[in-house]
Amino acid sequence: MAVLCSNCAGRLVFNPATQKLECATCGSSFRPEDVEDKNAELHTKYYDTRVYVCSHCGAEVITSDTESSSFCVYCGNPAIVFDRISKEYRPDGLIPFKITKEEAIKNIKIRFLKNPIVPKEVMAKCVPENLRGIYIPYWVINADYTEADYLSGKVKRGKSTVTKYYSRAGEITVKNVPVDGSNILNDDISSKLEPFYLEDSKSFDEDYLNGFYSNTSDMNYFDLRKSAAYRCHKMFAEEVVKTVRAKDVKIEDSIYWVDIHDEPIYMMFPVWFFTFKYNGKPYTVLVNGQSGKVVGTMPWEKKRVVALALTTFVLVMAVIAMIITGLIEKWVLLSTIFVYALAAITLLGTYSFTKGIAGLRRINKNLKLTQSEEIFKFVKKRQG
Amino acid sequence: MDEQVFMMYSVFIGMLVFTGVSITLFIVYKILNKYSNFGDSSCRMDEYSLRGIHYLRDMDDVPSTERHFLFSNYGVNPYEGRQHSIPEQLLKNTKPDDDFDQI
Repeated sequence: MAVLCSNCAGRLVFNPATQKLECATCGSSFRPEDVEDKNAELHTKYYDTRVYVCSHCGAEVITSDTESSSFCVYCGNPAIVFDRISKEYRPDGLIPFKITKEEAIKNIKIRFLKNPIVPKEVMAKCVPENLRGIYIPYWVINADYTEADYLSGKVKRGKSTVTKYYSRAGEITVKNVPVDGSNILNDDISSKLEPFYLEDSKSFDEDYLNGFYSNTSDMNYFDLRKSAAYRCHKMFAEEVVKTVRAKDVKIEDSIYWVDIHDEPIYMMFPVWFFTFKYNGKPYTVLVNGQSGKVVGTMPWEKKRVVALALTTFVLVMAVIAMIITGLIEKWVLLSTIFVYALAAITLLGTYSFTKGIAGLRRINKNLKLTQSEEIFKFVKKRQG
Repeated sequence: MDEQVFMMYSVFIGMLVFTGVSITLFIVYKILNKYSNFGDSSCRMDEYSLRGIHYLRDMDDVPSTERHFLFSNYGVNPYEGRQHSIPEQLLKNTKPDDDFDQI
């Protein structure tokens, strides 16, 4: 359980800027490792968390802090009651928050500045009350990994394009791969928060949790293997595709196996969650609490994007018309050079179409991840 | 107007409009990606492995029988039978019907 200030028994909160526990009442500060744990013997295997329940909205607040749960931060209702003390397995270590809440807001706002498409309403929501610092459980693993892939790619043969097939199989040993230890948090989002630098990690001390929320791993060994295999597969596939000298390379089929070495390390990594609703849909943008990396896709104002697209279209068509007029003046319509020039413009169009569609699909996929109800509820459950 | 010339002009204008729409699409994607899509990258293999991938099979332009060969050769778990000690935290969440040999 969180300790109190030895000078005035006030509440101690971990400050990422100073990396110290600070007393809000008398201003004293302590290094977490210097604060005596009076129940050290009991705390070798487990640590205590307080679980509060909001009787208004039913949300659960999990914290090791003493006062931060005096009201439900989600619905703002003070009808929050202490439910139970839960014993959780002590993680092996954690990376303390380095980025303060103000820095996290600043990092998000840098993305907003001069941003022509993000709605002002969303910008206004980027305030401290909408940001939560949550320690996310991760398993840091070493593993052996084997994968076999059957790939296809398009190759030019004379004037035509043919599809060729490729086979790759390989093995690799990976070290210190962080695998998100929560089944609720989407692995595609959590992997984008990387890198986390393990050099900054500390032995687990619940004093670091003061002032933040935390979550414990709900995974079993089967889930961990599944997540580890998926994480390794994504990295492996990215490398394998690069070895194929063809266009539009696709993995047609693959099979993979992972073997996690003994003693995966149970860690907690710091993440800021910025949650808000726009047009009735939930959004969660994440900030790596160690490096400050912002992950997520912001909603955009449809009117502005449509206006932007129409203006762009008019400008593009004007440029094309100028080029075509120039060509017609120089060469008669349907002369060889004219036809070649036209073919080049059409090829450019086809290239832009393919790239544009693929890019928009990727953005849409990321937007869906950001709009994930599960992550929104994940934060809600932890913050109240 | 001669029907053939009309068709030619229609195709010509259609191609130009298609090019215009495509380039607009590409520019809109670039704008959305710059202003709306953040942190769309994850760590690559070399971040977690010094030696990189050791290739066991690396063949181009393979015949159609390759898929069958590849998956019959690599379809068996090469790590089967390896025993590991599993941390208590992971055992705590294990359900009775979990089979650790399956991914």
